[in-house]
Formats: sequence, C-alpha cells, structure tokens
Amino acid sequence: MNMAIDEYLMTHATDTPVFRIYGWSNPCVSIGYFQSINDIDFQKCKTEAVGVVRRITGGGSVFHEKELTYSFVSRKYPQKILDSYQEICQIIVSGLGTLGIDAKFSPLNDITVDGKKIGGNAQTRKNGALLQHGTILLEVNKEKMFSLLKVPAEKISDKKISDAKYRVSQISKTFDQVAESLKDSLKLVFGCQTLPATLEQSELESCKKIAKERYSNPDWTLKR
Amino acid sequence: MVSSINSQNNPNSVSVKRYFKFEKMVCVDLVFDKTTNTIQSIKITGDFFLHPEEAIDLIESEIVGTKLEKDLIKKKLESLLAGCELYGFSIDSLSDAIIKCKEADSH
Repeated sequence: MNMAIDEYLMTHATDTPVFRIYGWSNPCVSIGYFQSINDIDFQKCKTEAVGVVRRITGGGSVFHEKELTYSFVSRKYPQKILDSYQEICQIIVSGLGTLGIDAKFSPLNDITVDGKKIGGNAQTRKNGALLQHGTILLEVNKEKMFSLLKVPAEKISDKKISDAKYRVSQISKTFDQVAESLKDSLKLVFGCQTLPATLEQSELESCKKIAKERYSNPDWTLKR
Repeated sequence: MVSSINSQNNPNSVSVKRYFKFEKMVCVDLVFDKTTNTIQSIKITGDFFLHPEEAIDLIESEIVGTKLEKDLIKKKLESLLAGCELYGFSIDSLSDAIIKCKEADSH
C-alpha cells in the first residue's frame, strides 16, 4: 500500500509539493524497477513473512523494518538527476543536523554518517512530476538484512570491502524525533509553510486499486 | 560472475550472464546466435536509474536481431535512449558490456 500511495501522490501532483512520512506495518523488501527478482532471496522472504514489492523507481533493493520512510512529490525540480537528489536530500541532511547528527549527501542517492550509509533514495519522473522516496535507518538487523538482499560479488570487490555489512549503519533516534526534525527542515530548506494532510476515503480507495492492480500483482513483482 | 550455457532449443544459441560495476551495478543476461552473431534476447538489470523507466523494456525488445558489433549496438541504443535521462552507466559502457558477454563465451 505504501508504494501505491506514493504513486497516487505523484500521478495527482499539484503545484503544492507533498512530503509524506511513513513506516511499515510489516517488514518488507522493496526492489528497484530494473532489478531482477533474483537480486533478493525471494524464497527466504516468503518463509520469513517478509513482503516483497517492486518499486516504480530505479535503484537497489531495500529491507524496510525499523526505519522512517519518506516520499517527496513536486512538479518543480532540477532537471539534472544529481542536482535533484542533492536538493531533496538536503531536507534529510538538514533535519538530522538539528538532531546533532552530522549526515552527508553521498552522491548519487545515499545519506551517510561517518562514511556509512544510513539511508538511500530513489526517483522517478512522470508527466511533469517527480517522486523521490527514501529511508532513514533507525535500527538495523544487518544479519537479517543481508540474508534477504543479495549483494553481487563485483559490487563488494570493487569497493575493496570484504563485508557489505560494514557500509550500513543506523541512527539512534526515534521515529517521532526524526519525523519532527524533517518537518522543521522543510521550513528551513524551502522557506515554506507545512500543512498536515491526510488522504480522503476516495483517495484511499484509489490507492487500494493501484496496490491491487500493480503492487500485489505477481506479474509486476516478478517482471524482471 | 559469468555463466554460459547452450540453449536447449537452438544448438547455436549461447547464453551469457555477466555483472558489470559502472557507477551502478548492471547485469547483462544475453542470449545470442553464434552462427549469425545476432542478439536473440537480452535482459538488462541492476540498481541504475533511467527516466522514463519503460525505456528499458523497449531496449530489450527492439535490440533483438541486432548484430553483435559495438558500433551497431551503440547506434541502436543511442536511438532507443534519445531523450531519456540515464544514471549508472553510459551508452558506450553498456555497448561494451554486451560485447564482453559475447567475448566471455569464447574464453
């Protein structure tokens, strides 16, 4: 349902940008649009009751459990991919900064603290609107994460890292603390007002339809 | 990682799967005909970014039948990716990768 809501927000984007903050009721692995289903241990996900969803955005596989997830939808954004990531990730860097965390934007699409990845981002652009969603790891079970996600040997050896787990970290803050910091950051970074919003029932019904037709459909999940 | 097997249906078909580390990971899963030197099928997967995303489906269908020669593949990719935004590999590096898959079979 989370991916369906993000898609709905993008396809119904207005001139008012939307920043959505959410979590996951059950653990889930999301895979990028271009990834092979074999890039994750699909069978193990099933055995361990971990959901699997293919995103409409590119990028790599993500294990969603104890994290804060966000999405940003706007019709106004830098056309250059790198510039757009940099601008939107500034919300995260600035927000974490207010919590005393020295986070950095690590191109193309990562957020790092002390050189370790604590969050990733992925974008798509359709019909004049941009959707970027991303994660901030609050608590990570690396053993579980890397038992579900497969990291190609080429990726590890090229970075001269014997253990991919070394690159991942977490921030020791609560969901609510990070959520508040991001709301404040939006005002700081964009100099704008923020208004809380919820989806109306009719919008939720549309999201459920998207979830059923795309994200719960094995033809979509297993398409590559 | 390289895997190479002969297709069960066509004795001249060769399947090669290889990972490439560019700015992002790219996996090319190529099936080609050794005698005609043409692409029979291809899957390009990885954690790269391409806008619009659907362009990858077009590439995978439209490149079938193309001779495995770098210049021809590059020209085809340039035509198919015109107007697209790409991050994680270049058209040149992907063309090279496809040719390397073919060469991997002869090693």
